[in-house]
Amino acid sequence: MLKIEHLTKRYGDKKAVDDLTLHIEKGMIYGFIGHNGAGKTTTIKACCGILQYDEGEIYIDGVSIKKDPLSCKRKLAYMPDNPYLYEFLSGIKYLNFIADVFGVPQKEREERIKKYADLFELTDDLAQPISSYSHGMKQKLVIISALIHEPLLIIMDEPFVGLDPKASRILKNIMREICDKGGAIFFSTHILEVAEKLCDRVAIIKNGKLIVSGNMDEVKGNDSLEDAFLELEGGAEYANGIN
Amino acid sequence: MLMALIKANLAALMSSLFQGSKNKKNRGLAFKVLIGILVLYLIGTFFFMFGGLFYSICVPMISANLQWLYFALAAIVATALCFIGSVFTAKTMLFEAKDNDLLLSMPIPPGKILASRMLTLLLMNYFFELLVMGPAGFVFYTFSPADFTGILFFVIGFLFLPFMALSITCIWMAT
Repeated sequence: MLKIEHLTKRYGDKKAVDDLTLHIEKGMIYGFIGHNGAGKTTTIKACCGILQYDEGEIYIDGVSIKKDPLSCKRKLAYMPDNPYLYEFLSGIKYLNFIADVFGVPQKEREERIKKYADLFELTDDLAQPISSYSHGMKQKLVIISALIHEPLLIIMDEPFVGLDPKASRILKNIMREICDKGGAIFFSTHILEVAEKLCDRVAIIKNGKLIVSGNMDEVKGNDSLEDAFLELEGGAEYANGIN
Repeated sequence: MLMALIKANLAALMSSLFQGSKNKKNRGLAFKVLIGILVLYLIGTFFFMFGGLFYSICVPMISANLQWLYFALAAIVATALCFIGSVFTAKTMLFEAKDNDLLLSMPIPPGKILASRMLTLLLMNYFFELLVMGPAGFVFYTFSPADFTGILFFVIGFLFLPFMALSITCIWMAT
């Protein structure tokens, strides 16, 4: 579903992402882990066609995002870590705007909005301007807007930040449901417990380079994912010192 | 899609002009009516102000056969108003847009995103231009007989002037 082949992105002389190769298959929840500034968001933005990259190639469902970005973008949904929403619009107008862009027919969009708004308990607030929403409510709106066109691939940057435990659980269930239907999910997170429980595979990135990738057992062995991550990142001594 | 983008841009523009503060729930009908009345009052004020200005120079200029200067002055004032009225919006909309990531992640050609922003600014410039050229044209054709060629050139000038104002604004903000 998503193939990242030898991706390199430079900012000036600095390589933000360095020769990164990842394959995310259909039906897979793929976690992307790394310290702040490791290159996660750059990779994610490149996968969504927001950032141009210097070397390598990214394929979405077999189509290069460089060569046919519109076709790729129709199949994916992007959830940024700090989304900009049109705060002057009401929640429902924002969702309709997104549905208009993706060309979702009226009947389908109404059904999906109702389904997900009910699920996330946002129905009563959809008529209010987004500027009056809390951070969590905005995050829920972004999730609904990502699901409105039933994407094959969802790329998420820190999707659980700001969500209450109930919404978090609902999102996890939705993620699994999408993958069971043949979709795929690629998301970055700092919440390693979530990644450990939810992901089929994970990749750990450090200073733009892939350190390790594989299924959970391959990556963490007998340790917890947190221990494995700290060991690979070189922070284990510090963490043990605290303990 | 272009219409949806223009609508969103116009909504952003209206919101920046009329929404006092954030975190406000939906405003009532009375507030919207009040804003509507204020906008009409402002438009009326501009019409009378520019109407008075052009009224004072129209007859002397027609007598001196300086109709071209009359319209040149009107065009300069209109361009200046378009520039002043849209320069900061152009900066926010073209060079500091916050919705780039959102729009670029969706299946919208980047050209359309830019076109929607330029068209929004163009519409804004037409509005400002109307505030000047409307009274100027009205006053002129009250005192001078309307001929087809004159009106045609007036309309062509009206349609093209905002393009010049928009070009000046964009170049100004880019440099």
